[in-house]
Amino acid sequence: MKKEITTVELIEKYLEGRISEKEKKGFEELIQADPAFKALFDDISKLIIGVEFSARKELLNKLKETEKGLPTIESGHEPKVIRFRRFKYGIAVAATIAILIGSLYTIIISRNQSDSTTYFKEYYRPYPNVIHPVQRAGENQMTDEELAYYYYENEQYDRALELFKELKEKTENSESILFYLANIYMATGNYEEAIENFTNLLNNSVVFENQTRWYLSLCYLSNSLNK
Amino acid sequence: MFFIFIPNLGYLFIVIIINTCSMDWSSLIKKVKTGEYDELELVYKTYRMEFIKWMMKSYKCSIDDAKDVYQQTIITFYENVINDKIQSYNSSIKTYIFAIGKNKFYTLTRDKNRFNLEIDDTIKMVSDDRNIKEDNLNKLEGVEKSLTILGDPCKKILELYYYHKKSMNDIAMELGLKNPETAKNMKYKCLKRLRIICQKEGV
Repeated sequence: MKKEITTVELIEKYLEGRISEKEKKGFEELIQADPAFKALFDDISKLIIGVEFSARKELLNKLKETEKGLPTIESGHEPKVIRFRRFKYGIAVAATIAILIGSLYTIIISRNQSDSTTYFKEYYRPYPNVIHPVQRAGENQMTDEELAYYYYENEQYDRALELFKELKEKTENSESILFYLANIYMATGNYEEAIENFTNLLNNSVVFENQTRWYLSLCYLSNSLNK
Repeated sequence: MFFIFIPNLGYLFIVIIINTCSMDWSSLIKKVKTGEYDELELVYKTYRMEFIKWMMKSYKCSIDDAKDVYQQTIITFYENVINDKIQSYNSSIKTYIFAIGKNKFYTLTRDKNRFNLEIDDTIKMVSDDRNIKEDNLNKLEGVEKSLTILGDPCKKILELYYYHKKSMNDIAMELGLKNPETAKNMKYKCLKRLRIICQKEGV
């Protein structure tokens, strides 16, 4: 039996390619020369492949049995990794949008502020004195009204304010007096008073209607800045 | 900007956890080679969910087809391990298994022009690695039948030795034999008997 075992082992070695060139040559010569050996070789090759085939099939069936015992995979769901990735992208997208909105908001706000500031600075000029242009005369020879406009024109708003307040009462709310009074408030930064006066003026304004609207809007602009 | 990096960090963290928890090559090979079916079953279970879902998503196949591909993949993986056919251990076990799966999918779809894996197809699939033709398939099934007639422990010894590449020492241990020499003699006797049965069966 020892010899037969060795023969089978030689065949196995040959089939697995673990044989030396010299042995291989002798082996192939033996197959040619000995029909019984050839028959044994053919049979053993077939049997080994058959055993492998059977064992592989058995293993496959074992795996199928294992599979039967495992929890079902729901085809509708994405794998965990994918779901996580989606979550990740979701976060990224949300963050990007948040950042975008944030920066846009900041840009808009700052633009708004800078724009309104520039607009105000660019467009606001105290309305020129068109009622009583200053004539080259001494302050003493002027009427209160003239003096008021004089102070106004020279940007002495404190003095002008007092006079215009007096004039307002005297003239029973003359349009021009009210208009310049509001302008004084505006020039001194008292926007709330200015807005009040301009609004009053708006209802019964004839000469300065457009100007009133203009200054009123500037007031609102400026007022919104201060808030 | 910070928000964008948080999920990435989380992902990295999970990847690290998975990598440290999963098996490494050397211990896996040792376990699969020396252990019994349980070890391969563990591999099967470890990558099953992810593989099958990946297969279904990437290759648009049904869940049953994806399972078939996975089972074939695990078999090829097992055979590569026991036959020392794995040439590089640089990639992870998962990457390696998924790469086999990809090839398996293409082989199975190319050879069949359809993806209907019936029992007959399974037989063909089982033998496709050795390029066995249809007429040889009858012979193989004949040997398989003869093995059933032969019965255990002969059947088991032959399968453990020829397919599972177990050493005589391991076979002796597994079957409770006295020593490897006994196993070797038994293996020879079993092969001889199988040959006789096959001749009787006309295989």
